[in-house]
Amino acid sequence: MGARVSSAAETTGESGAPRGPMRADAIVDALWLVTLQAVCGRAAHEVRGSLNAVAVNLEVVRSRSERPDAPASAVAPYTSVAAIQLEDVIAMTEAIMALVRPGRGPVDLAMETSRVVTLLAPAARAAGRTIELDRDLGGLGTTSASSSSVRLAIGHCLLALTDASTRARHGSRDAARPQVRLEHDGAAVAIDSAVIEALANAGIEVQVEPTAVAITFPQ
Amino acid sequence: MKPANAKVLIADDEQAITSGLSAILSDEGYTVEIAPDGQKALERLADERYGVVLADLKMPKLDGLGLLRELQQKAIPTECIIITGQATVDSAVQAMQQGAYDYIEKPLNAEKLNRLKALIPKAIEKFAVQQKNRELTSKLEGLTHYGELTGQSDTMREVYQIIDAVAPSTASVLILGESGTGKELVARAVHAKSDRAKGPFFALNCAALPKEILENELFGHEKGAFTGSVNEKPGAFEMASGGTIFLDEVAEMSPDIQVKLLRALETHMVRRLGGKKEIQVDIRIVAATNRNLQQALADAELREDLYYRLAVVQIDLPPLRERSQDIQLLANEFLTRFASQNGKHVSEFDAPAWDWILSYHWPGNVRELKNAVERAVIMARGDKIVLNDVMPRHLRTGGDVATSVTIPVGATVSDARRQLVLRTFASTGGDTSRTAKLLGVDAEEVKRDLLVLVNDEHVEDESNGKGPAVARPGASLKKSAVKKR
Repeated sequence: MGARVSSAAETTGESGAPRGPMRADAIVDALWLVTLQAVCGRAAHEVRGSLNAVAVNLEVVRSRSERPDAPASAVAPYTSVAAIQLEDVIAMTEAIMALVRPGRGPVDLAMETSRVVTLLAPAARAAGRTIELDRDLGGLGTTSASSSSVRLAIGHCLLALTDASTRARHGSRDAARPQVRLEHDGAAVAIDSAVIEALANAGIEVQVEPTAVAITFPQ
Repeated sequence: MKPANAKVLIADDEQAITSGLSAILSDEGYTVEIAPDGQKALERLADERYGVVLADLKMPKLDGLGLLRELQQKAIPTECIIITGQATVDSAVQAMQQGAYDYIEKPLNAEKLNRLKALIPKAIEKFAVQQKNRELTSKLEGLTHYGELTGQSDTMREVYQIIDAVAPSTASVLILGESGTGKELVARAVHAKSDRAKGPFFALNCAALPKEILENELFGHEKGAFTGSVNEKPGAFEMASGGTIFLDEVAEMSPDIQVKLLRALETHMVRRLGGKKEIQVDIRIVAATNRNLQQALADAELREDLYYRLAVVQIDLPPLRERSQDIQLLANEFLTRFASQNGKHVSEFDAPAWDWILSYHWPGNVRELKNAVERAVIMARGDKIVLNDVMPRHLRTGGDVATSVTIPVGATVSDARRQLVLRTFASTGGDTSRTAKLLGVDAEEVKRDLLVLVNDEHVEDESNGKGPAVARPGASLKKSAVKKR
């Protein structure tokens, strides 16, 4: 980390004169913020949907509770729905909080992947798509890459996949290095070349295959 | 108390919301059903009547706006309340412009839910009122329309009854009527009301086609049947098999085609020109003519055996002048249609225009009336059609055509008679035979009366504007006009 990159990442000052190349980790951070914005945008929509459902179901509970003869069975299903929706909201807010916190030490790949999936899965479901976590994902291990670069790799690729496919699965340890495979149903997937380049500078390889995107991390 | 038709459909893919919303509305006394997407909602709405649809703006397959559009296009009656996120108020405004009853923004908190509870009965009431209107309009339509035919006169009702009776049978039908009375529309109605409605309807005008082409159109030909026939071609009998063939102006058909037609009707088999094999066909024939068939039979222009084969059931279509009750109905219908087609805001005829429309004898029947109204709509400068818009130039004799005769007390019987003859003569466009028929006298008597009038100073006085002995000037008649007759 800390390596300097070529003029592709150069920016200009107000005078138009070159201000100097950006550091590779700064580029990754900037790209991760853009990706996080998109992920949070989708998640916010779902948070609102869940809270909306909570409001509607609590209204049922409130109005039925006012009836003196209302049995518990008349309100129980609606309290359950409200509770489930609140759990979803809590999980999504927890994931956001974790993703905006800078990571310390080796990054747990399974944990980072599941956080992004927690935020993107409801929106994908609403759009008629599914994102599934592979059962073996927990054994993916850790990487020495920065948390921003890991989150950028998983977040950006998952966003691209959920836009392009109806089903994404991930989690594979075929390679010698830690690898996350995002499998999809074959629709064309476009990964931003600037992201691929920035990740490469951070030691993360992104390979687009016909029905999968393989992300290989450094040990 | 909930209005009748208190049925609500919730179209939303978020199950956690729909179950709660459904419970709230059920507690309010509504019958609630849920559709998980816009497409499913549309299917339900096409099958059943719902007073209100609560549609989420964002749904899979078909979103709220798409659903609204489909409802409008398919004219499915319901009131639609759109539920939308705050970020899409523009879409909600668009929804209102597309005919949504109202919209509610998310989140659906207690306040919004109370608003929704207040909106639904109003929407259902609107739906119920409009439903009632639709039912009344439909009943009214049934009194004045039959398929594409328009008319509420007794004679047209008889025609409708005959069509109802004959359509389900396989009997051939012969339609008799003057040009422009709607013979093809009757043929289409017979086809549409029959078991063959899903089969083809094939119309051929026997007078418009040369003999060889008509024969080819009816029976088809094999490849090489005649010079230039490079491909085989099936005829109307084959192509319309399982359906109906309408033969207009059937009395104009040449005798040898009549023989082939008769044979096809009797055997249900046809043979293409140049062909050897017989092809089985399943056809119903509806024929029509404006000719005097007795004359055509007497002159051997129409084979008697074919006539009896075609005229298993005969429908006599009355000319427009014999169903005067329908003239106003038809004229108004054409006015609405052509005003809409031409994008003109013409809504009515003025009194003199009506007078002329109702008194004119319409020799070209409905077709002539239709053309006259279309021309009038195009020519109209204001929101009303005036006499000169609707009356063809060649019929304008320089004065108004009166539709009534006012006889002042003290007028002589002969004066009264002459005025009656004169007005009727003017209203028929100068047709002495028709005038005689309408008055129930001989044509000779009419001519005599008219000649007296022409030679009488009264007529000249009237045309000079001095006023006749009889009140209300109507058709001013010049000598030359009468002499021509």
